[in-house]
Amino acid sequence: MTTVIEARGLSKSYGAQRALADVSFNVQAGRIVGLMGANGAGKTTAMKALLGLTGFEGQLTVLGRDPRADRDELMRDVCFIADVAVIPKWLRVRQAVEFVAGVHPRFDRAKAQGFLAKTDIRQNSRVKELSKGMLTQLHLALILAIDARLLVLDEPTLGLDLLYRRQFYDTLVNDYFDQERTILLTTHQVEEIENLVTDVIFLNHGRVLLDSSVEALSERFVQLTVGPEGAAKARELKPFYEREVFGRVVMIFESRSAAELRSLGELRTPSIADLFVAKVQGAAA
Amino acid sequence: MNEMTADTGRAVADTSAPPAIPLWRTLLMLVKREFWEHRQLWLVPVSVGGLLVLAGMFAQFNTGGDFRLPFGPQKWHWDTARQVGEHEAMVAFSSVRLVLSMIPLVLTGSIALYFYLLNSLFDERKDRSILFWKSLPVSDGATVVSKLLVGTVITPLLFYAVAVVTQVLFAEVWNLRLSWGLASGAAFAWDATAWFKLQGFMLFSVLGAILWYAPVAGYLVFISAWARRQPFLWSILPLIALGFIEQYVLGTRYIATLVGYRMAGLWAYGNDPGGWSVTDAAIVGPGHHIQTVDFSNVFDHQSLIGMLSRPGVLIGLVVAVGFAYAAARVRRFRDDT
Repeated sequence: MTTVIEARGLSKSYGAQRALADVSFNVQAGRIVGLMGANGAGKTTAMKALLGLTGFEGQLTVLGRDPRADRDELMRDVCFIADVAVIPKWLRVRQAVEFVAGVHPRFDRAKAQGFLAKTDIRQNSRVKELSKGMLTQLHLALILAIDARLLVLDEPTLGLDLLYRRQFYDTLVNDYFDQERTILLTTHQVEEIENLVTDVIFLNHGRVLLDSSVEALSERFVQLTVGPEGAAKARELKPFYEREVFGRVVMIFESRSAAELRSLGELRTPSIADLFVAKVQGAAA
Repeated sequence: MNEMTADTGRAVADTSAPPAIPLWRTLLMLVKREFWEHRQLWLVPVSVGGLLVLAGMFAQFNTGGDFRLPFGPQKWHWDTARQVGEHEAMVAFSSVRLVLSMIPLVLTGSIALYFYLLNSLFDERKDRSILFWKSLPVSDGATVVSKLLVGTVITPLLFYAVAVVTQVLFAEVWNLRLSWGLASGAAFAWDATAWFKLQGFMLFSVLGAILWYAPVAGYLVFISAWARRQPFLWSILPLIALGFIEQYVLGTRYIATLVGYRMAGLWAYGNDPGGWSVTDAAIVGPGHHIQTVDFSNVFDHQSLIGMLSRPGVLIGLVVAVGFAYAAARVRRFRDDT
């Protein structure tokens, strides 16, 4: 398996505020990695570091290159578009396609036009005239036509309504993703990408709280739902998180076998969203 | 079977490493991009040129009395040319009249380019579109060079081209009015040699301005990349403040002199040793009566090589390169989106 991103001890401060504190992680080829964190957790800083958009301390290799030194070469193999709001308002659709085709050696113009032809977007429209939904489609048309090895998406669906968010992710997985490609995306809407990602990295206050494949989560974490009468007994097994739901207690355990817990109540693998909340609140406690 | 494998192998190699886009093609695309975004770069010269031609339909030229040029100390009497009526004098008079009528193009062009350069790297940060541009394999150096090319070479030459067309139309409109008896005064005298010399002189002035104002353009692009807000104020206030501080604290005026020299320098070549100014072209008789204007001596006195070798030009170019480099570094490492 090829390592696409290798980060060792990334640190970055904005003044007195520490955005990244000794962050290390690897991303393998052919994975969809969700970099999750609350607002201000350091997600965007980590992305910017990967893309050579900001300085940092530590070791970082992206597709075998140092993003600080080889940014321009790196951008041939990386496709990065932050949220759709960064596409300049004055640009016409036709111009957006022409420009990317003119500067990007891996851009397939016919593919982009083919994608746009299936939409209601007019070639002569300016970006500011497009609805949010159309803008998402334009954004996708540009991304999908770039044959990049690594796609980096920073809050790609910010401000979009549910229909377009769903369309965005569905198209991404169905029309773009394959075993050769790697997608790294940040979002604070964790539930949104629950069924999309193969790996998760949780960031909180600039630190890595969790770095795991989704398959491994079910072995490592278990969620137990018990009535109030069984709660005390379950607590002895040291859940790292608990909350009350309709009079029942939901607990999440790490590194406990299902056998130990089965007799106490209902077991299931926690959702990524629940796990995220548990980890972040556990870290705050 | 072997052939197929070989083919597949090559296809894989091709997709994994497509040829990089040559720098000149990237630059061409970037330049095109500037004109998509900044339509004022061609709308201003075309509309001002159009207005000038329109003005030619209504203008009255006061061909008598004194005429003070915006450069040079003399009052020039245009009477001579009219009274003498000699072909050569009339040609000279027509030439100067045409050059002067192009002043609106020069002024609007300067203002348009000042603000274009000043906002060239600022607006993309303000609307965060820099994140879009930076997501593509285009270096910061190429981006800065494209903005400087548009702001200092391509657009000035575009203004020049519009000026040439405007002059022809302007003179033609005026002469038509004269021949129809709708205006009184001197016709534009046509002389092919003088015309091409005049064009040569104007092109020469444009090239001179490109070189002379290069450090100003570099400064504006740097301010544009560096200022977090209010690039216009940042482009002027520090210079004024430093000038005042220098004058009050040290009692000297180096900064003011330097800025004045650079801003007015092109029009005061004559003040530089070995320099040349447009007024040098006039052959002036007694009492500042203009006898003729000979633009041919532009090339005698001041070849392009001669102009390039002026220390003010060379130092300016070095400063311009320094500012451009600094602007590219700031754009590369500044993170304020």
